[in-house]
Amino acid sequence: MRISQRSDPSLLVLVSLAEGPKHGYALTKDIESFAGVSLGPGSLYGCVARLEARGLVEALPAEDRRNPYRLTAAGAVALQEELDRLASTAALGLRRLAGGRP
Amino acid sequence: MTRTRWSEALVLAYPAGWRRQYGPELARLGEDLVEGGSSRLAVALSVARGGVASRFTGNGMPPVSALWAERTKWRLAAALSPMVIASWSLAIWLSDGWQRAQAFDRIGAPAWIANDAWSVEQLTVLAGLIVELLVWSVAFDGLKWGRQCRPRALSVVLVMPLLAVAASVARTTLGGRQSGSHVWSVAGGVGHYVTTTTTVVAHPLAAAILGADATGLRLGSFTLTPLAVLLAVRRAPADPYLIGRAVRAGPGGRSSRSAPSSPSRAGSPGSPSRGRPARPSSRTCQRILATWASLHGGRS
Repeated sequence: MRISQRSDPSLLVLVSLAEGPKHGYALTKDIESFAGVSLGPGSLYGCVARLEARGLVEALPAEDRRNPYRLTAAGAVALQEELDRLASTAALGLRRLAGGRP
Repeated sequence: MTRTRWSEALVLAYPAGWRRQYGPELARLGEDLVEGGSSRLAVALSVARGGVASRFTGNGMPPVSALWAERTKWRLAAALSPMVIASWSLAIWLSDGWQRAQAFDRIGAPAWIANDAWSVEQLTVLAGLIVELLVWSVAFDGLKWGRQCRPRALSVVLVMPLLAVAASVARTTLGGRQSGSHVWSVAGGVGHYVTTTTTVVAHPLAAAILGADATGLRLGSFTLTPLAVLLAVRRAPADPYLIGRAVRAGPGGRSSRSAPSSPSRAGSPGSPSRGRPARPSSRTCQRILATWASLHGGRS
């Protein structure tokens, strides 16, 4: 059972772009495959717009109205920091769960 | 309507500045998703919600300054407050008392709609409740975060109340079914139905408590509330996306999309406005630009 049904779309988008540039449809399908989250176009582009405004992703030249996006250097740093934070939280939680078991 | 046209129509939910930057690719994504097996309705709902949220929160706009956020936060509060206070106080004052849970009984659908009107109205109430919760959720989100809110977007809330007022006037003027004419009878019936359904659609919570047929609910909240909101938003600033781009680029400069830091965006196909300089379109925008320039020496 999942505690939270809503993953952070920004993090999911950054993780997806860490693999390489992707356009909207490829992002949606990739996120669906690795996170099981089906992002609607409105949610996805709201997220992409926020990330681009913060300089974490940038657009590449469009191909037939499909704009690929890629992670910027600042985006890679931000993603690394966020994943480190999540990893430490996960490790702590797992340690506490293991210690608390009868 | 072709595929392209429906997807481009959906993107109209977003502000103009946003559409210029992301519209073509968002429309294309919608088409791709439908071709890939997604429900067109789900795609449409997602885009609609994103558009409404974007209009209220300025999502996607470059973070310009605390000045803008502070101004728009209070403007949105000023726009929302009279709406809440006026609608509820007048509705309670002018109605014939608290009639809890009587809304459905008091709707009184026209005879020509037959018995299935009951379910139609129930569905309409549910749809209205969803719409209202959506609108208010994004409005409060805008207040909470103090982003580049756009009070003029409250026009979304005004559509159905104004329709209700128009229908009430039309119904009264035409005389409804008492005139004996078949045409007037149908027109009166339509007016009556639109009035009752838009009443519960626009303010379903108020209608559920006070009764959808309450005179005060119609004449009070649906007449003065739009006026109050219109007064509050009359001085609403221009499209925040355009202002944000202009502020970032500096007066007379080019938008961030065409800046050297993102050369790949400038003049890219499918986005006719990319590469254009963003121009302020209102006196408010000019004042913000001047303030920004004085604070930052015109730096982008």
